[in-house]
Amino acid sequence: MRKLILTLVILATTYTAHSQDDLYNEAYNTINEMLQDSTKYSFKKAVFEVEKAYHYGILDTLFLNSEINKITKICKQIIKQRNLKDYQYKDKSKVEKYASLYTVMTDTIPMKMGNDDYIYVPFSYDFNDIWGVTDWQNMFVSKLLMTGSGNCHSLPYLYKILAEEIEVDAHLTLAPNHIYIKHQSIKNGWYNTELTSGIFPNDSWIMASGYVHLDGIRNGLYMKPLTNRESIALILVDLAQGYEKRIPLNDGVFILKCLKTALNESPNLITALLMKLETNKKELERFALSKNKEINQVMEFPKGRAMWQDLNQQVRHITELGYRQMPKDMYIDWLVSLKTEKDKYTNENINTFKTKQ
Amino acid sequence: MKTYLSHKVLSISCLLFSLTAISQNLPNLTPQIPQTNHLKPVTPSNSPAYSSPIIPHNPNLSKTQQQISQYERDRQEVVLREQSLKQFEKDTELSNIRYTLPSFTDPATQHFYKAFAELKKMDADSFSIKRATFIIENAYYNNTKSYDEFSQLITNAGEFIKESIRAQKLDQNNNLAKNLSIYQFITDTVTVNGKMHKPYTYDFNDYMGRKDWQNMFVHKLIFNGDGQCNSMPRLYQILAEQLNTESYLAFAPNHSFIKFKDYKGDWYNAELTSGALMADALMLSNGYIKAETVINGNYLTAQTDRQVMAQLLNDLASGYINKFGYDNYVIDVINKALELNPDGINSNIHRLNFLMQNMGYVAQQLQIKKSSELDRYPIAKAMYQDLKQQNKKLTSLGFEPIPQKHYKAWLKSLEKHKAVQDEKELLNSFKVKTNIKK
Repeated sequence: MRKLILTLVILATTYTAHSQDDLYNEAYNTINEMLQDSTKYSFKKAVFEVEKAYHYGILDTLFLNSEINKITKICKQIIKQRNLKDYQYKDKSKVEKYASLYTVMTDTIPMKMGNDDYIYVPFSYDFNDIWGVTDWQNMFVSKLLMTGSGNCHSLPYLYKILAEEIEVDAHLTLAPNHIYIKHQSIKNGWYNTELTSGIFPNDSWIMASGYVHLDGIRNGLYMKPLTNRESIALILVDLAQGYEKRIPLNDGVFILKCLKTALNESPNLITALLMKLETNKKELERFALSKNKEINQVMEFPKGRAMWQDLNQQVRHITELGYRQMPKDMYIDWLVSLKTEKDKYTNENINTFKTKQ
Repeated sequence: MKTYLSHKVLSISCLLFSLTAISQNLPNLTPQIPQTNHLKPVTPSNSPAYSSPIIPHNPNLSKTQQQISQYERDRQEVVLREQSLKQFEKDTELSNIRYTLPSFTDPATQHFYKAFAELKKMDADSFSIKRATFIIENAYYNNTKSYDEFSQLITNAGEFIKESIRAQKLDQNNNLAKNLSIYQFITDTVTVNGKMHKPYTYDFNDYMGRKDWQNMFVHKLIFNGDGQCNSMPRLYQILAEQLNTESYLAFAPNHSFIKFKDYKGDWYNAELTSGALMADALMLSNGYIKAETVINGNYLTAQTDRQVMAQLLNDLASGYINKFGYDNYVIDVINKALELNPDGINSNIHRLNFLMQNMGYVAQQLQIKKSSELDRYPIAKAMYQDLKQQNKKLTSLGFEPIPQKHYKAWLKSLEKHKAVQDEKELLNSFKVKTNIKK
């Protein structure tokens, strides 16, 4: 009897593992197709693929889409009703779209529908579990739309989704442990939009984190506006991360497949490089365990030696590119510095669409 | 610091391309432009519509009628005359427009022409910064300085540093030892074999060279003992050349400093004005720096010889502008600088400023106040487009004028340093006095 239960349990787990694998492979294929065929590109779809795979293939896209449609409508209403008098350049219509996105993400908006008054409440920053440690879903756009609060992962993602809904560009940009938005306008050149605190920080804020090496800027690890294709590469890393959380005891094959495609698209994508290093390290650990050795005692085996050298090579490459690890506590301090040292880090040139007094 | 003036000018231009604003706010360095004469004397024979003033006599008309017709004829004549005058004016006006700034005829300009010719002859990828610096400063001094004397001073300083390396028992061929010794020579008191060299101090009085452009010069630094963030790194580089040391010039907005590597290949930022080795993060958070400017090699990046030569040409142009003003010499020099380093922010600022001057000159002749009025004048319109294009290029390079508020705050912090320094000097002089007493 006990044997039967055991086999049943094993069967059940292998079954879920299998179906999970299938779900993830499906998601991978859909996202990868966007890279093969640009007409299939949709950032929203790619994001939801990742979240669906994590949710065992169930995601209330009807609800999510209707929420996104609602916000899109508000955006369009804002664009129609508001005139940026202070911005008189050729790209005004584009900048007005950027401004509307900023408003729906950060501002409270009183509205009238029929005879009833409503108040639109903007999204807030959720300081609980910003790394998705207790629940990986805290990183998700679906969580943001359902609860109204998100983090530096879900907020810029939603921003980009909304930008595509109102047909304007928005560039995701990486900083240490962080994602923000970059836009380009005639008046200001490239400028930053930070959604976790809702201000326009200047570049020195990101540099002042202390974990941005000059080489990191030069090699485009950080502060480089990502193209749509590079954003898809970023999503592939998310897919790999979700997979790792969902199936911790995996063999690494699926993860490496995602990362390979991502790095193919964006060779210096730092999140992909770091995850590849982690995954390869786990591979080596498993190899060492199979030989009853420690990770640094595998030099006598040709395969172990090659793996060890490869790891060292990767560490060196990542360091040379300019990556420096930022401790997690530092990250919070740095993020909060935007509020505490607001004057120092606010880009004063962006004063065109401040609605708050 | 050297481009402060231009920053100011540029920030004005960024607000709006109001040409009136430009001409009002610029320091008026150009000589007054002769106004186009609007009422040119027109001799009657030149005017085709003008007929001889003989009044035809008609006996059938009464005297009063005759008077009326006489008046009518006169009136028509005057109208015709005015019309023809206007037409004439319009034709001559366009052909008389000068689209290039008038050249300065001051004989002292020839020193600058000679300096430019000499710099052009140098190999931009391998040249003597000592010689190039001398040429530029000597042009400003109307060719009155002696290269031998300048050279001798540098040689002496080089020997002194070598001695100090020996005295400290450091490896004389080690790059890091040489760099640190030059650094020490500039920022610290060094005593070798009884000889003492005091550090160069920061000149808080006129660090922009606004009162006197010569305050920017290495000559002033080595003869007076104080300088600023333009001359101190320049002297460093000259000494590095003397000692055959590897080190690089680097820029931040309105600022320059030195970068060198240690034996591990790690970079150091040598800040000469405050005498400190600064971390990248500090440099980044202090200055107003956009990421693009680091990527395109303008700021916080070790400059190649070619980039340094481009900057030297910018300096030459700055000196000329400061002494005389804008004419085509400036754009010739800047074009050469841009040929060497197309994405150099300072050269591009120079070009924008030149184009603004030129546009202002033409606009003044055409009596134009708004850009929409330019449509009638194709050449002027093309110039305006070029100006707009140049402004766009600067923005795309990541140039951003430092907001006034921040600049003032920075100036204030300098003032604080000045107070400290004054106090130190006071204490020093006091010490000297007490020493004498003893």
